[in-house]
Amino acid sequence: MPNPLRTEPDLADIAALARALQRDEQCTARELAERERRLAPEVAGATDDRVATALAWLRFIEREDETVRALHERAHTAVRLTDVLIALAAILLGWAATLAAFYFDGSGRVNAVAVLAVLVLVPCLMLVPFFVANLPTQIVRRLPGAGAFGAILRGLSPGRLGAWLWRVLARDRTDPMELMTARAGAHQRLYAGVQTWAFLRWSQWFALWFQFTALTASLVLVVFTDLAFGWSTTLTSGDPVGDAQRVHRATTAIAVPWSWLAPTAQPSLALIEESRFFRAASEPVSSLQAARLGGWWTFVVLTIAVYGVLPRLLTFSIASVRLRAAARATVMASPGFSAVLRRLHRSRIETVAPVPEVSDGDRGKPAPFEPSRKVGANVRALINWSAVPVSADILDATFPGVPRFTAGGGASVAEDDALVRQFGANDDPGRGDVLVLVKGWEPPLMEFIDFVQALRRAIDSAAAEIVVLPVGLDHDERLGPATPAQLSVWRNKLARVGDPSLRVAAHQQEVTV
Amino acid sequence: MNAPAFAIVGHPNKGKSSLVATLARDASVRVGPEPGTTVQAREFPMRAGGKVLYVLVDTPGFQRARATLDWLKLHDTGAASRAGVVERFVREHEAGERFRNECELLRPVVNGAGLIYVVDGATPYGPEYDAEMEILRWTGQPSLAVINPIGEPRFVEPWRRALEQFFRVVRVLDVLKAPFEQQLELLRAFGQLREGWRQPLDEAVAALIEHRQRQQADAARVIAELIADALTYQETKDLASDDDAPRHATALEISYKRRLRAIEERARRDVEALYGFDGLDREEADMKLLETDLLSRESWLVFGLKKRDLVVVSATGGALAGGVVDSALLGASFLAGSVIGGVIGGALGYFSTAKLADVKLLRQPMGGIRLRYGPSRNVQFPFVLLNRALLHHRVVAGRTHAQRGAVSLHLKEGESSANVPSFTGSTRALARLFEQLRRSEPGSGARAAALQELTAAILPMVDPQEEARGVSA
Repeated sequence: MPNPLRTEPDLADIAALARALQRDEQCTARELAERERRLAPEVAGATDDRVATALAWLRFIEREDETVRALHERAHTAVRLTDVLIALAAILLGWAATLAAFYFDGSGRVNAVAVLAVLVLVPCLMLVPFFVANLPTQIVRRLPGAGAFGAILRGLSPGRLGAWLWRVLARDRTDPMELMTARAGAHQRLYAGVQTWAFLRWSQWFALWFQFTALTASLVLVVFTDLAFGWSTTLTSGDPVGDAQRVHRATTAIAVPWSWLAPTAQPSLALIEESRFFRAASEPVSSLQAARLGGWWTFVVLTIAVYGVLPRLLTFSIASVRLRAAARATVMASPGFSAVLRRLHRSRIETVAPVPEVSDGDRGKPAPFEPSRKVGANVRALINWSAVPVSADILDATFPGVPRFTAGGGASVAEDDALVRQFGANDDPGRGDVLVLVKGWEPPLMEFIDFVQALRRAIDSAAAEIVVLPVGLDHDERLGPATPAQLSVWRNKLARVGDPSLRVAAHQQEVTV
Repeated sequence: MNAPAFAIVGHPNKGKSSLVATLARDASVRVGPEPGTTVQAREFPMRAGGKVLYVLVDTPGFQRARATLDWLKLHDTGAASRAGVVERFVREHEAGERFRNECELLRPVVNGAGLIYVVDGATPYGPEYDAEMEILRWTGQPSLAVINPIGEPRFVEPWRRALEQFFRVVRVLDVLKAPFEQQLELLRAFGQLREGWRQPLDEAVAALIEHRQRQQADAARVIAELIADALTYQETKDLASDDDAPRHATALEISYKRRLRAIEERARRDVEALYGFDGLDREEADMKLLETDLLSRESWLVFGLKKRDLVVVSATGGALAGGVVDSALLGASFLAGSVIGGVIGGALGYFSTAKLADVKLLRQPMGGIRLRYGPSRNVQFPFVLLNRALLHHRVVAGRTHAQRGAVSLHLKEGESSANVPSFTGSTRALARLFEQLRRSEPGSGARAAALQELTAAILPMVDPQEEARGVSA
């Protein structure tokens, strides 16, 4: 069954995508186009969501490229491991903080104010940097000190644990981080968003586990130990009743979120008055009194749950959502990814040949070029091959007294053969060379090669040369010279015939009678 | 039903492979002055959405046309069976070497391909072509002739008169420079050769037009991204107060310019890849910066603090400390603690900034000088970039895949690098978009919106009409 389409990239996806795009930079456009043409039918059409397309593309790349797949797996493991280690650190700290806050050896009472300060107030204050980080950039820029405040708090964020953990993890777990760091170095502003939100998510993850642990540990302590709560403060007005009323008003206000559900889960004024204690005048607590003072526990536990755990659940959710959004933005803006999308789309139309061109293995290396030498007055016959458009008057003037023949072009092969036989019958080695006029602008064909080979066999004398004169294209039907490029084509072709007495003349002067 | 196939046939060296390279947009096709470059028939199927709409078949040129025709005539049994005689010729000779080229080029025709006969309109018609055209007539397949002038087209009319005796349709097309519209026109003509071929060819033309529009949209996007990247790019270097700043400034400038060139180079390659070109050589003057004072220096502190931030943070810290005193006195101090604490903290922050910068923690400086090179603030800079990119696009989009050699991007005489005619009326809007891009962060919604808008603004500048007026490479 095919994997369902994913639309939410995570850090591991970004690392793997960065690696895949980095590798693409080493490939030629043709290689990439061919790969995308192969992948397009599977990737394209699945969705119009660019990020989903990116993730689907990445899945196929991983199928083809082991290194990208391995890096993706390592990054995935590293992220999960980081989550676990941060959670463990938070659990340890939360447990220790809760034990410290609930420290009770039976000789005094657990100060509810201290418990709430350690487990609720301080963590609540730690929410401030999170909200500063959430401020829009435009506001942060205009607010003096907001950027600095955010920078300092970000520096102290427990989310930094994530980056630190990635550095201290086993070597094979660190390369995704190195890759992302290198890529972030080159595209700093692009990766800044995802980096910030990754740290913030980890910091909220830490805080959430801290608060969960605090809540769990509090319940454990309540269930399995006896706690006598009280409250104590130096900041007093001197009026015990007034102080108790103020504390009662404060606890009532704190309990508003759950008062409709559990109206008894808040300390009564009488309990508050009774549970105030002064260390200077501490006196042993009776068992009956201790049982009554334990009545604070529902308030303490619900305060931790509502003001400690719930906000962190909320901030963790916000950080996760923002991280996903940042990851989506990073994927879409990743350098090279637009090109991938374009290639995928382009490959829906294909016009090129699916198989490479076959090279001509038979084509040997052309013989070395030999400069023409003047023939002198030894031309015994002239053959006009394929009706070179040169007037008879010009030929008469240029080659006076030389018999002229025609071959090729409109003549049939049989007529060519007859001409060759005629040369064979009248062959006399002392009679001289045979000049063949050809059109310089037309390439030498195999039927011409057949003809000169037959002619060579017929005249059967290596002493007699066959001189091929390519004629250039001219308006007034003169014997203009062929261009150097045309001559080169003719020379290369005829050199492969392997006849040492077959040569190409560059100019009519070389063969003037 | 099989997709229509078209065999591109003719004399060697008359531009058959060039025509295939142009129509198939395949620069890998070997073309050259040496005859016999193509030795085997090669298919170029045109697929749209996975469906093959037509197939072009590049073939080697005739080498022994007269001998082939002689064989056909020798085995002729009447006009009605001539196609069968051609088929028999291929069957009997395909294993041999002598008529290898003829078999390669006739095989697809025997299998039902239409004939596209290519001649050179820059060289004269000669009797050696008669045998080739006669053989093609024997096949009985629908045919079309293309006069491709490889040079000065001075023999087009004689050719047309000769070809019209053998072919129903004769077209003139310079396959090396044929604009997109002419290529489509030729494909439409292919479709008219046989009734059943019209629909797939019309479909193919529609797909190619849509594809072309997509290419233009993508090219506009690439150019917009190039401008965004180049406009916002800057090089920074944090130095300790006692570092050699001038030396680093020079290195920074070199690095900045190298990176800008790399950004432009990547965009060039992307646009070329869009149009199916791989590794084109380019002759283009290096981009010149329009300003020389892009270097700026500022102080930096750890955590990215600025002096103002440090003062505010110190003042806040002082005020909080003073606030504790106020709280202890239950408000009896009338917040004097906070005020005094704030003032002292602020003053400490103000005077200690320079000292903090000199402090080194774990051998790392806590502050120093930040050298920054770029980004360019010159208002003409993005216009120059755009102009260069549009010129490159115009040349690449107008280049056929049969052309070889480097792409020349030198401006013609009188063309100013900052003057793109298509800007008329929209310069102010473009300048506004450039400014939006300068201010936006990568990956932000503002950047995405500005890029979208700039892409839309560039799109009309890369339209086909623009290309038709274009510069040939």
